[in-house]
Amino acid sequence: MIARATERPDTGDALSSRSVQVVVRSALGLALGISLGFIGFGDYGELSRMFTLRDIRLYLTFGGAVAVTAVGLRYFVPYSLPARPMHRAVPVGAALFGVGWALGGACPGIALVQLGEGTVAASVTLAGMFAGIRLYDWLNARWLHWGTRSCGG
Amino acid sequence: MGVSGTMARVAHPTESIEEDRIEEEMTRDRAALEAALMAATAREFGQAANDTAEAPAAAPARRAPPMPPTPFIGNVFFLVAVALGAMLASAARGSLGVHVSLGPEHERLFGSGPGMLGVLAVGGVLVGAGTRMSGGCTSGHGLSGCARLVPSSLVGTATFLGAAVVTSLGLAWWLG
Repeated sequence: MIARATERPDTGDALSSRSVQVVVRSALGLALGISLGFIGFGDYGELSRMFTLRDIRLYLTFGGAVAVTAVGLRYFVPYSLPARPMHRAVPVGAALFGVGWALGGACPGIALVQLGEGTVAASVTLAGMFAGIRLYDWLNARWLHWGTRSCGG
Repeated sequence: MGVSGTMARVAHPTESIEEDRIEEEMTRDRAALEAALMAATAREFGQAANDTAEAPAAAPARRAPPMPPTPFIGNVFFLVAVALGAMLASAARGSLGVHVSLGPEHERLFGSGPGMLGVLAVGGVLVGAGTRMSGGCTSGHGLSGCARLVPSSLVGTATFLGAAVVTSLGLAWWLG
């Protein structure tokens, strides 16, 4: 048994890099959850004041986050991330997403944040999101054939 | 990969785990990579395409992928960790507790009964399908894409923020 394990020296390396990735992803998720929780994106009152243009605080927060991300990606990330090419699926999908966000009070990350904060109803929103993903993939495979999955992430 | 991309991987567990297995085999074994490429070529263009192809003079040097894909379980942990992080934050703020609805503002528009849950379900489906269609959400298009001035992400972000504003103003006028 031991001899067989040593016959494949490559696996140990690949496996350890995979577990490092799992730990890194978990840590990133935790950091995202903590910061979103403190910002208040999960609160529908705040969100509705943002979307009805009564409060610009969340827009400023978002703009600040974009600026920090720009600096971080520019100077600290050694590889280039995929850039999705323009496709008519982008504005159409984004419009559906915007309407859904205003109705359910959650973008994908926020549904998880609301659930973590103890908002039971967010489980319905989250279930809807998973159903929506599978619904689009089914529609796309059957009728639309928009090749948005293969290229550009 | 942003939050919606991670959700999409988790929404298709069987396919994602299969992708992981293939990925692992590829990194482990160049022969497996070659066989998979030959099989894909045969599937797409017929076996004749493989038979007539010339063998490369020398194997190209192995290069590290630009960004290795996260294993399936890493995606699951990421989503769970976002919820856990928010739980810690709300405990620190003293607002952690069981809430049935999204709060007074949402209740004022949609009530607190089955109708409100229906609105959340419809909203969730639109968010899931929409982000999958446009290829990103607030993190992918909004943060990562806008930070790099990717044209499709700038269009996407402007569109989803605009649609959310128009919808919210419409709801406030109609129901508020």
